[in-house]
Amino acid sequence: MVMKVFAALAAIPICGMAVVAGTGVLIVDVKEGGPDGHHIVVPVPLLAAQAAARFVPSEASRIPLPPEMERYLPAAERLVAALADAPDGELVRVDEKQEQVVITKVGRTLQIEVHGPKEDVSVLVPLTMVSEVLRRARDGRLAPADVVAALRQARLTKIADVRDGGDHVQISIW
Amino acid sequence: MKTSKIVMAGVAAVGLAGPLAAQTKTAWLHIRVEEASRESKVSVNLPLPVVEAALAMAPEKFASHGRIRLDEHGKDLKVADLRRMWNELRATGQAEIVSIEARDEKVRVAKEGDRVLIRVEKLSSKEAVRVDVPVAVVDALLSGEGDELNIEAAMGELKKLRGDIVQVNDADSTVRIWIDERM
Repeated sequence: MVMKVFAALAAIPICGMAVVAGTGVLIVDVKEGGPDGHHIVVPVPLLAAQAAARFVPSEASRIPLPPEMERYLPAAERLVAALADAPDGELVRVDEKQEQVVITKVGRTLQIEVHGPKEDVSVLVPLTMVSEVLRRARDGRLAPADVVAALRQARLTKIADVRDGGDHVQISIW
Repeated sequence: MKTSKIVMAGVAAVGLAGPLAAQTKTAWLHIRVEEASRESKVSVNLPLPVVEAALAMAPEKFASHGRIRLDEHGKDLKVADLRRMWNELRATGQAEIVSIEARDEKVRVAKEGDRVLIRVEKLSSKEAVRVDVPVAVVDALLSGEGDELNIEAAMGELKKLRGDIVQVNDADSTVRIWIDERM
């Protein structure tokens, strides 16, 4: 009987972790440069973020998009779809004396890399996430909860990696 | 009899499969810009369907329904006049349309075969412009009405085009735009 109680109690956190893992976690990892630099890791369960976004006051929960932006949403959706269907490859490369920018399409992701004398930035833009945001904004309004929900389309992706001097910031979605 | 028909159909299918497979390959628009003084190289490679989709996002004042209006942006060039000139030129067949030889500059615009060639050469510097545009693309571009250019139709023709479209060389920079089936 005691064993059953323990098993039931142990199942609660395990189930909780499984739910969090199953619904996605955004991890922000910040490492400050220098010997005394802090290392901060902030895991944000997407389910909790989505739930919190639902508590945003109703007038702010669905932000109206500027009319000129709304007009281009269908075209933007078609552009993202065309990009997603396009073959993989290097789309843009800019080489300057001290800076390099490369935009590559890999699968359904746009990889943007900027290398400068002091900073290196790498951003992954999952096209499924962008098309999900655009789809949710079709009525000309966008809610924070919609953006969080769209992040789930980018599971198991390191969406940003920024090195600036000694500082290093990574944002991943698990 | 039946066997020979099947064999012929098979041969025809194989014969057609090659060209059809080639047509389904994605066409890529390539742009290369190099500036020696800035030690800068820009390379853009875009599949034509993406270019087509991006053109749909051009501001409405500039384009609508795949057509570009020039009346607000290029008042000194009316598309209707351009269309009329083009139709007259088209009727002349192969022709030297413009030929200017100044002290420092040579300009030549000609229609050769299925292409319109534009050549500008500056003799004092190493500046040279080469533009090769297929007649079908110009036809499609001018197939709109009034002061509109039909970009959608022109894109349709560009998808069939392979090779160089624009080359600009001057003392400091080079620009090359071409279409092929390779990334």
